[in-house]
Order: sequence, then structure tokens, then C-alpha cells
Amino acid sequence: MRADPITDPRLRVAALLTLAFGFSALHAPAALALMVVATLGLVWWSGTPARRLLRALRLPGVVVAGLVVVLPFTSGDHVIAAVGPLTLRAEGLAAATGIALRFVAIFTLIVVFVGALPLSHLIGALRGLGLPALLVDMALLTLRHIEDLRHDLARMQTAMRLRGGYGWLGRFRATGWLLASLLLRSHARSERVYHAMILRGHGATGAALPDAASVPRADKWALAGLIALAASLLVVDHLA
Amino acid sequence: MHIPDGILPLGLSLGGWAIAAGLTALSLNRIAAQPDPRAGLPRAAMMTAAFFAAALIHIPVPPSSVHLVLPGLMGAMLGWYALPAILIGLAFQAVMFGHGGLTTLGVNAVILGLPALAAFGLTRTLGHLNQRAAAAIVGFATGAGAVLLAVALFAAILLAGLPAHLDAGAERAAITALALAHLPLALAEGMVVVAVLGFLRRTSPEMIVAR
Repeated sequence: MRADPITDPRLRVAALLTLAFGFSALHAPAALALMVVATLGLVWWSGTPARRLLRALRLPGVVVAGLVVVLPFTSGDHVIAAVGPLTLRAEGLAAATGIALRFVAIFTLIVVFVGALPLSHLIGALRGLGLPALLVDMALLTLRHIEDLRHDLARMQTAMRLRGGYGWLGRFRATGWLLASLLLRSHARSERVYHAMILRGHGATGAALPDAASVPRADKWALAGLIALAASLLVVDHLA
Repeated sequence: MHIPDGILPLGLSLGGWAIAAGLTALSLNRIAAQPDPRAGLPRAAMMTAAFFAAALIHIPVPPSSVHLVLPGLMGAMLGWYALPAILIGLAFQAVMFGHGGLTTLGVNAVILGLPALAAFGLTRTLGHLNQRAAAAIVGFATGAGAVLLAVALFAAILLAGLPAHLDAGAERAAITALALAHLPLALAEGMVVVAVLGFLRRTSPEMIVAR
């Protein structure tokens, strides 16, 4: 395991956003090729295991794959091959390749920069970057509820299946009642948790935000390098 | 109904972020004007978690099954809190599952947030109807209408943002396929929202903020 490119969570978020938006603007083949090289370099630098990356890519990759498979046969005028009623077109193939490469590269950035970061740290970083307090509190409280809600949902779904006897239409009503019961139960708990958080001092005025001066110098240099990388790729894309 | 990274051009992605930021600022402004702005926070967090977990609730719709999206219910139950809640839910889904995207977070928030705000408006205008049939119709329109509006926004943005132009026939086919694929979801979500709102109206009406 090599070192993280950037250790400060706030700078990680800043680097991630800069590179992700930079990558999303690239279209020229030369710029896309450099983007792939840069992404592989970041994976190597961060020591992210390839297996973890591939596992994370499995589900979202399916969504993009549908589009990438369809586009080469439906978009563009320049036919480069024909198989029966299907015609492979150059413009569609180029667009699909670009989409696939940008998607994989940006997804890889997410895994590299924030994939291993606990969500509570990520929320703290966003707070440090100026996210409004109400959104921060909502995100923290949501995080607190997600596991509880998933656990309750699984238990109630099992109970619903065991009761059985629902017709096709009755299942919609049963699902609605299950959801409503879940919300009622979770609501009372949510109120209790939030009040307990306030009693423990959450959100009190004077609570310290992370100090900008405490950012390691190496992180600042790494962020500057990554911003320069994004700018260089945009220049290459523009010139190509 | 989440657009992944890599598809939309930079201008559209940035525009989505700008519109989502504007709508979020408007929502936060309206929330701040309430007597106790933090009173709705626990419910909003709970609904955000439900929105996040909705992908786990599958309803069999032959020959396949659909999972709930819940923009209509979010709007009816959260009012102005709905858009910030959807934004947070989408951000969690993008980071934890790779569902949706980072550069497209704003666009996805607009796709689901605008229908939620429309559902809020509909419920606030007509939600006071007490007759069971009328309440059921409003609930169904809230749930199904929000999904249909989200599908329309999704299709329009996706087709406008594709880096290659589809010919007219392929575009029509894509829109028809998208609409047909999501029709069962709209019907299912309409019926589920009728059941949820009916249940809450009887047991805990204060939870429906826009009643």
C-alpha cells in the first residue's frame, strides 16, 4: 500500500472535483489517452487495489454499458461496418468510447480520493469547505439512520413475506403500509437522536472548524500539481 | 433515473450544479424563514435515509421488478426540505455505490428535485381534501406524476447532452422505450404513495408537512 496522494480530506475533495470536471470536458483522442495514463498513475500512486476498483465498478458499469453498446449502432452517418440490419457508425463509436473512458476515469477518481474515506470524515471535509450547517447536520443524521433503516427494512420485508397472501395489487398497498410503518418508527427515533446530539453539544456556537493553516505542505503541492494536470489536459484537448 | 459521469458535456454538468445550488439556496432560505428551522431536520434526515434505501424496495411488476425512487413522497412529506434531502441522498449514493455521478450530481438533483417540489405544491394546494377518493387521486397524482416528470427531465437532458446526435427515428425510439420502461414504476409508485399517505393521514397526520 503506497501513500494517499493527499491526506487532508478537504483538499482531497477539491482535487477530486477539479479533476472530475476537467476529465468530463475532454473529447480529443490524444487528451482521452493522456487522461487514462493520468488515472492509472493516480491508482498506482494511491496504491488502490485493482480488485477493489473492479468490484466497485461492477454495478455502475452496467448502467453505462447499455448506452455504450447502443450508441455505435444508432448515432452518426459514416458507416464503417455492416452486419445484417446493424450498421456500425464512426461517430457513434467515437462517442461511446469517449463516454466509457470518461466514466471509468471519473469513477476511479472517486474511489482513489474518497473511496476509503469514512463518510463522516467526508462530511467534515465538506463542512470545512463551507457547506451550510443545515446540510451538514442533515447529512450526519442521515448517516446515523441509514444502517438502522436498512436493518428495520430487511426485518419488516421478511415479516411481510412470511405473512404472505398478497395479490398483485395488494402488494402495492402492503408495500406502502410497510414503508409508512418504517417511517413512523424511524421518525420517533430520529427526533430522539437529534435531541441527544444537541444535548451533547452538537452545533454549539464556537465549535472549531478544521484550521486551514494545518494543511500539510505536501498536500498543497499535490493539489497544485493535480490542478496543473487538469489544466494541461484541457489545453491538449483544445489544441488537438 | 440517475445520469452517470462521462456522458454530459461540461456546460450541462456545470449548469446542473448551478441550478441545483440555486434551488438549494432557495429551499434553505424558505426553511430559515420558518419559526423553528431545525424542527424538520430529524424528519428530513429520516426521509433522506429512506430515499437512499428505497433502491432496496423491489416490487414485482411482471416480467421484471421495479424499485422505488420516491420524489413525490419526499415532496409531500418534506416540503422545502425535499431538495436538500435529495441532494444529500444522491451524493451518498454516488460515493457509496457509484449510482449516479459526481459531475452529474447537480443535474440528477434537478431531475428528482423539481418533481419533488412540484409534488409539494400539488399536495399543499389539494392535500386538504378529506374525501377518501379525492385524497387517493391526489396521492396517486403526487407519486406517479413526480416519477413521470422526472423521466421527462431525464430523457430531455440525456438526449440533449449525448456527445453524438441520434437520428430522428432513433431519438423517438429511445424516448418511447424510456417512457414505456418507466410507466410501471410510475404506476407502482403512485399506488405506494396513496397507501403511505393514507396510512400517515390516519395515524400521524403531522408527518405530512404539506397537508
